[in-house]
Amino acid sequence: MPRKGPALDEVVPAVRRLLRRGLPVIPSSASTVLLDLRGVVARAVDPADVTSRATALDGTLRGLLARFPDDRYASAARALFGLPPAAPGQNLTVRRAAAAAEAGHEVHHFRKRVEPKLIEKVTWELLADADRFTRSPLIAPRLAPAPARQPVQPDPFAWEVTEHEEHLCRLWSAIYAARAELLTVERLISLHADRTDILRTAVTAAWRWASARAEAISYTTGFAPPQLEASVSELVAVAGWAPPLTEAQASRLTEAAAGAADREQFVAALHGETDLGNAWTGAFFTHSASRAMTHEQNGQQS
Amino acid sequence: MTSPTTDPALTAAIDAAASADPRRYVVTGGPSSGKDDLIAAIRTAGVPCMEDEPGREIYRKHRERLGRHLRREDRHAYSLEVLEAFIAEYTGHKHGIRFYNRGIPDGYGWDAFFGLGPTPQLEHASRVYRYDVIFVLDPLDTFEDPDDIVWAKDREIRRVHELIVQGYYDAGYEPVFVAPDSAQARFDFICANLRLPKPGRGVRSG
Repeated sequence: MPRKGPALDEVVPAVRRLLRRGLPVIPSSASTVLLDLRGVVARAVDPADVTSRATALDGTLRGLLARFPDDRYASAARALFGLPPAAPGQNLTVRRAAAAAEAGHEVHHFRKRVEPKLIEKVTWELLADADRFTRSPLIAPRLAPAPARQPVQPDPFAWEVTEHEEHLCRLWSAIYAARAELLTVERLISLHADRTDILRTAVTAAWRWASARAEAISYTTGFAPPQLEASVSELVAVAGWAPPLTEAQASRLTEAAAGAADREQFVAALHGETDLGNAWTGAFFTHSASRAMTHEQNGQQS
Repeated sequence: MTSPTTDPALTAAIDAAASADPRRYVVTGGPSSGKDDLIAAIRTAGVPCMEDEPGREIYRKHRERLGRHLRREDRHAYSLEVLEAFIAEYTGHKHGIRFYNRGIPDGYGWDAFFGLGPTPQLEHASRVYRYDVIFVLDPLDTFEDPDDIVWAKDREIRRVHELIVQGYYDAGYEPVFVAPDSAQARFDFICANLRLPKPGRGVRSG
């Protein structure tokens, strides 16, 4: 699930604290708020290890300072944090003097007026970097009209990234299709529609739900980060409430959907699976009845 | 913008270095960083350079063999094969200047992108086979405008780029970042950084 990133006023003191020692970052000089930034965690070889995160933070800061987006103060910012023209191991007073000289300011003016702004700028860059690393397959990809053709670069990374988006789109297409059918079933039940119509729609919902589950398995197997490996049920759950099934029943439905080109083939593949059919369709009526009863009881109490 | 051509001063500098110890320069960056255009400019200027990164052909081969997309368990095998190709490229170069279309530490970016830890082979190779300078091409596309629509793919491409950069830091390099610009201007910047004549201007820098 998406996590809220830290606020500017949490990160600024952490950057200020890190500045006392400068680069390279060591675990004791880095606050948790910095080591927990998404961009840092994503870069760490072992995200569970503090030393690995500190190394990742060091690389993040070096990359950020090397591309500091302010030509006037880029060299000063690098010196302040201990990169050339300053040197590792120099104390803050020495680095500040070097940074002030790079910026062409008197050192006290630099410390009071410029340094806080540079710290704030570094902080913003760290937060922007963290934002770039936000990943949540539980949010459907945002779409917009393409102003021009979008050719894919001939590059294995680009191929993988593109295929990732293809799978993500298929996944969300399947989840929305399942959601539509699940909503239709609930609407028909609410309308007291003909039981045959409800059953037919419930079977369509089963096909769509199982197709979404098959896509979720395919997506998580191929593309989801390891921490989301067990999220198939979480992904399918965003389609809406579905009848509770055993793992074996869910697998059987998924298998039938994965091998079926359309609803008819799905139904044919499950021919004779009466218990499974009853477990799926019956739950809609049971669930509906118990919900109506609760509603009625609540009405009597009020 | 002038198109890159063979520059006599640059050719002379390359020839002079041809019998000296090998100098290996990596050009890397995520997709959409303009790497292919720069590599083409380097080659057009007559500077020894890898044409295609070996990963492309190996990737096609893996896809063909598997008949489906790569899964997590396939990606280590892919990256090990790419690593072997990069080592062969590295060790095959004995004298003079040569540019590389990506380098061994790009493997860190690949592994990290898929949530895989680096293999011992990659860690070993990164220690043993060292390049002289790493040039990171920053992405040509920026998404700083809040009104820009950032497609999932574009976001991921930016993430790939940052993970590649981190891979080089992890391997103990201090990359030189090359700002978004034309291939010619970038090549001039790189030549200036290496104290080579700039092919775009025909003047010696440094």
